[in-house]
Amino acid sequence: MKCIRLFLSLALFAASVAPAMAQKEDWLPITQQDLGMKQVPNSPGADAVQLYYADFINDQEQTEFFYRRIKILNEKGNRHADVEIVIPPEFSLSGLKARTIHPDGKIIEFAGKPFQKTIIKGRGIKILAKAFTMPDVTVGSIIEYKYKVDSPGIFLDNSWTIQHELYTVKESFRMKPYSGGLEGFQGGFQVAALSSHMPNNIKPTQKGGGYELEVENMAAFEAEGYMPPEEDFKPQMRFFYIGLNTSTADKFWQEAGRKWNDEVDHFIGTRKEIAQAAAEAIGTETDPEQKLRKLYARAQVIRNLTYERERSEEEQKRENLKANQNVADVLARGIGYRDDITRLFVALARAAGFDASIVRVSNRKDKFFDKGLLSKRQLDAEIAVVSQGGKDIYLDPGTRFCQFGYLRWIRTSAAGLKLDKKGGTFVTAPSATYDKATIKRTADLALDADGNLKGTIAVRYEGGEGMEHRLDEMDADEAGKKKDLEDEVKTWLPNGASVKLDNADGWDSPGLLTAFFNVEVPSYASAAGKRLLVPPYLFQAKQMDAFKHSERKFPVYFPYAFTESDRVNIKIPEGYSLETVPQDQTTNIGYAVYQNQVQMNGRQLVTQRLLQVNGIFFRLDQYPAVRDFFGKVRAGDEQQAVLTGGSTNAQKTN
Amino acid sequence: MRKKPTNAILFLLLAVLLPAAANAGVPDWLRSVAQQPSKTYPDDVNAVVLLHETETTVKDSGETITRERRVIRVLRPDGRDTAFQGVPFDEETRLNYFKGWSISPKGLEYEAKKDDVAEIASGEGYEIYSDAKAKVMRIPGVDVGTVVGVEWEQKRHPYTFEDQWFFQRSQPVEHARFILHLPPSWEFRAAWIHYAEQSPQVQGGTYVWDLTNIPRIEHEAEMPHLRALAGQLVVTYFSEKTKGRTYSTWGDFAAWYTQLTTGMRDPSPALQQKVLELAPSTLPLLDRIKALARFAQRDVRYAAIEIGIGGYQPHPASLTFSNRYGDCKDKATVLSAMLAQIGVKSFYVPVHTDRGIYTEKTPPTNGFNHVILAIQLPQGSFTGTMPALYEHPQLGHLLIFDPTSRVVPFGQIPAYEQDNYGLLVTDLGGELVHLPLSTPESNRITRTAGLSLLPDGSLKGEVQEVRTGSEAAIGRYMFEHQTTADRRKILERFLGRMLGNVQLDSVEADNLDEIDKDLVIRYKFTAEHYAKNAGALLLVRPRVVGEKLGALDMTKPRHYPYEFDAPTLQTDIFEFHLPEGYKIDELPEAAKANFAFGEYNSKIENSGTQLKYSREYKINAVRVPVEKIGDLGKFFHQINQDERNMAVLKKGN
Repeated sequence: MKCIRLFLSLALFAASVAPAMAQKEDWLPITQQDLGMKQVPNSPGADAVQLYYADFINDQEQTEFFYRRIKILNEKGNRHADVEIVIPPEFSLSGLKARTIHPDGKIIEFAGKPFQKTIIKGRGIKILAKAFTMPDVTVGSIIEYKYKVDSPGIFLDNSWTIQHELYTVKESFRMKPYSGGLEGFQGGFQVAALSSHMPNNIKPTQKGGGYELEVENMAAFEAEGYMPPEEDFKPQMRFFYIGLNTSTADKFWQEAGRKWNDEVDHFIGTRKEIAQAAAEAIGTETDPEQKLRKLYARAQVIRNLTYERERSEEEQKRENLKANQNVADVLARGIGYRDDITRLFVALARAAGFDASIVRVSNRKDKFFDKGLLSKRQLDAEIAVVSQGGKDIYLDPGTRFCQFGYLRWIRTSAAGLKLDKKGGTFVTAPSATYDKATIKRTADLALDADGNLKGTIAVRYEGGEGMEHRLDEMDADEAGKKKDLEDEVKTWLPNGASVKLDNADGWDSPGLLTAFFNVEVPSYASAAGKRLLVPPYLFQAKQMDAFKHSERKFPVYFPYAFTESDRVNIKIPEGYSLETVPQDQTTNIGYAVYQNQVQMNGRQLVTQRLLQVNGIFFRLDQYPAVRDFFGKVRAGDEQQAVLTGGSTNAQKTN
Repeated sequence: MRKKPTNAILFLLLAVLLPAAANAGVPDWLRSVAQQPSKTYPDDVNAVVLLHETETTVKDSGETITRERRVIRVLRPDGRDTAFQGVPFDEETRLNYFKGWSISPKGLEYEAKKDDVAEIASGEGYEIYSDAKAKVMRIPGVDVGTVVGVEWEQKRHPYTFEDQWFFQRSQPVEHARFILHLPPSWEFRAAWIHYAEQSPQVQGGTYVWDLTNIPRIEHEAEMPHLRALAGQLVVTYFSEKTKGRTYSTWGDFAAWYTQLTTGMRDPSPALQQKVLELAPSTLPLLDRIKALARFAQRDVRYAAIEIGIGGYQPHPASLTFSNRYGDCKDKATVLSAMLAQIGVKSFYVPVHTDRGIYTEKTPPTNGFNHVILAIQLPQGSFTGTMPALYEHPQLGHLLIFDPTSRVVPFGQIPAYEQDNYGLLVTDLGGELVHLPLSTPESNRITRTAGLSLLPDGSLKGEVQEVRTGSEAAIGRYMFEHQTTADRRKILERFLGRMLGNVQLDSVEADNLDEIDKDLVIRYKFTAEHYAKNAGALLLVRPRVVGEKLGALDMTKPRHYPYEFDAPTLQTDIFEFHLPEGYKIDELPEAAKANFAFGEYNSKIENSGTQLKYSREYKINAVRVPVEKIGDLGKFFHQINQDERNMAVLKKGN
């Protein structure tokens, strides 16, 4: 009897098991349409087209069959003739066949043996790859290859990749589930299919307990800069083995929530040392919010191991870094990982009489939460929520440097499960508005008659900006922090600027981070005869890269809403006076505001500039408006003031 | 030095007595080095190598054992990646052992265990398959202040008997030692590269070179390759028994290479048939050569499979021809075989694709990473000259040709091979030859633009770019085989840097595939807010597109020469039609910066309703020495100023 083993559904092992439909696994006939295809629809110049792709998962036989037929359309497309198939640990590859078909229909079989590469071997894990290159490939050739991946067991999470790097003319998919007994599903199991981002007209059909799907003319997937997480835009079909009684996603998450809640309750418990610590932290404070702030600060005193370098087991042992069993351990040892600290805070808050809970929350950095996707790994961290004065306050004490009242951006506007005995309720963590991440810059500079600029810049990183900078620099020493800050300021300034950090303050605690720089910008102003042309606004907007292209396929996505608030004072050189000053600029599109005002104050050219972007996700239909908005920002930032009075050494014209 | 057995016994004894220290098995030599007092280094030095010791023992049979020890102190958080150490090996090299340890500033000792070591596929990354592998170790306990030690031993059966000892690197090295043990009757030759010659201490057949306080090679923008700067010792050892696998001259090396390639250029009937088809005798000889060169360049796909000696030895031409794929030496071999069929002789030229690693001073050493061909052009087979022509005193006109480059036409050499050195392997032996450097005039960009400026500051333009030589190659790399949409994106990114929000109205490219012709790129665009309104004035930057400013940091002292890719001559002519009612009020100064390495001249002319901006940027030399960096700074300063300058237009009158 076959021994069935269960595996974690690691993404690495996503390519798994396969089918028995022998007739489908033969070479397909080469059609005149295949031979005649010379261009990809709507993508002239594409280097290759995938004429056929098949992925047949057969869990009954624990195999997965793949078939690719690709036509080379130009020389760059020759790269597809070099093939490397990565084989996950404990898997094997069989039945590899490959051939080249010339434009005249001549077939050259691949007669060689694929090379076996060891991608990595160690710690009992061995990942191999089979590599080969197709013979006699020319532009116009069709190459095709097929193989089976044999799996050592059944995966509980399988998927079909519907969209590829190449435009695909035809695709066939099959999924045949296992019908025997599976460990952990004593009450029986079923296969749930989840489609995400599939076009409306593409739906798999259920057949014989499995699934089938035929797709035609699937465009190539091309990622864009500043797009939301790619995974949320690729059509995909996923299959899960779930218990018979897990009939809905709600039940799945309820069950998961119950288990998490049990674990959290066990960890927090009710302990007198916690009550005592809470009382000590609060002292004589009576205001509820102030009390919470003190408890929050107490929890954040714990040394946060999540933000330290990874240690080997031996190092942990030598440094006596044992796993905490409960919040009393966290308190006593003064050491913990991010979730330990969050739980300690909740324990302290509860001990002080607050209604505090743990929320298992998603991380929107790489993927948005999808309730239908039955994977617990989607809710990968814990934050706290405290009901106070009729409102819920979301707090993230487990994130180092996260100040009271803030969440790190990856957890803002993100779905979470607020845990309770029944399993919990879904909530959305609050969004971070533009005022939660602010950069304030004040530049005091003097311009010389040669157009060179010299002076100081003071920068205040507030809220989320301060936190992100601290987290980025957590591992850096003073020299590293200095270099990174200087490099950042250089990106704001014209080419050739010299930037030296004078001092920075606030690295070690949540709150304000400030930095002071000495800067020099050679040839900042340009001379034209007796005039000197000066851009009154010194900095360059960092978001412009997102809007270089007139057309987009995907929405624009910024990590967080933000504010830039700047004041630039430029002392003009002796002997010059102001001829014209740029007009005031104000642009407001509801979710974004820009103001730029320049005036002369004595001998100082003073610019006050405000940019507030109160959104993170801009739909495609909003793109023209957002692009236009940032175009105006750039135009406003690049305005010029005109000074007169210099020596006339330029080409004077009539 | 090897650890004495008595020390080992003492160490084991201590291990029993002091379990905390002994569990880790840290050897004495490492402890001893770790105890050295710390020196002061600049605050951007991540780690310092306290000891780099290589000990090579050659047996009379030719078997070679190399033991390597490295001790590194981590100085900064960025130096923590010292925890990862690797050692390469392949089918010909057996790794006898690989060990690693760390000692923390508090004296805690760790030893890497079996589970801390992984084996990975290695190679250069371009190969479809290579038998090169590496063991990679993660050493526990590594943090700032930690001293990391590694030791490994390899048993080698080298193809050629030499050690290339790279003792200078991006981290400072306090002590480097090379120890060579030779059997009686063996001799050696030591050659120093980028470092003053040092004499070894000699005791019997043991030779020891000790170096101390070797400065690091710092990173600077556009610097030469690290190997073109770093100190290196090449030790070649030989005896009567290893003839043909060792060399004291380039001629010996060439003989070894000739031996490797013997028979590889023998043709198959199919290859001969193809030559008749591609290069019939009715064609002029140069056209026949070009046709075959084109075949090797375009119809033999680049695909590298390197196993054992296959890293050096090409596959037979018949096999490469039949598969229609191969790596650089395979492509050179198939072309050489085809040329032989029409009576044209050609010679292998191994090169390194980074300029400066091989120079006229480089001693015979096996460090090439690429192979090209020198084609002997018969007298009278061509007229005029070509940038790739090398005149050899005995062999006559040699045309250097790289069949691996798909975009560099016959008669030209890729930029990275120019002013470089390659080994010309001939029947007579071999010699290092200086590959020609092209003239600026052969690598041109001529950009002309007709532009209309509107009163609101918008700019509409039509640009034509004509590219030749290495500039055409760059353009082809960028544009070739891109979808129409991707070409637009490439141009939008390029223009967006200079013009802000730009709308591309059309993009065309001529002769992308016809590499013998100039590459022509044309596009039309509209840029809003290009010129700035300032009261009655309209301020316009005449340098609309193109950025010539180099990446030179003048705020720090420069240590190394600055390198340009290739000589070039780039001309911009931009003609603006001014908006109605506006006249030119003032124009910026012309730029003029002329140095031996490069020239930059611009001018702005006013013809009533039109403004004409023109400039010429010319790079004559590929390398600017350190003593001329000040001039380079002035050169870039002028360019920066000119590229930012604005003209003033005034409304009325």
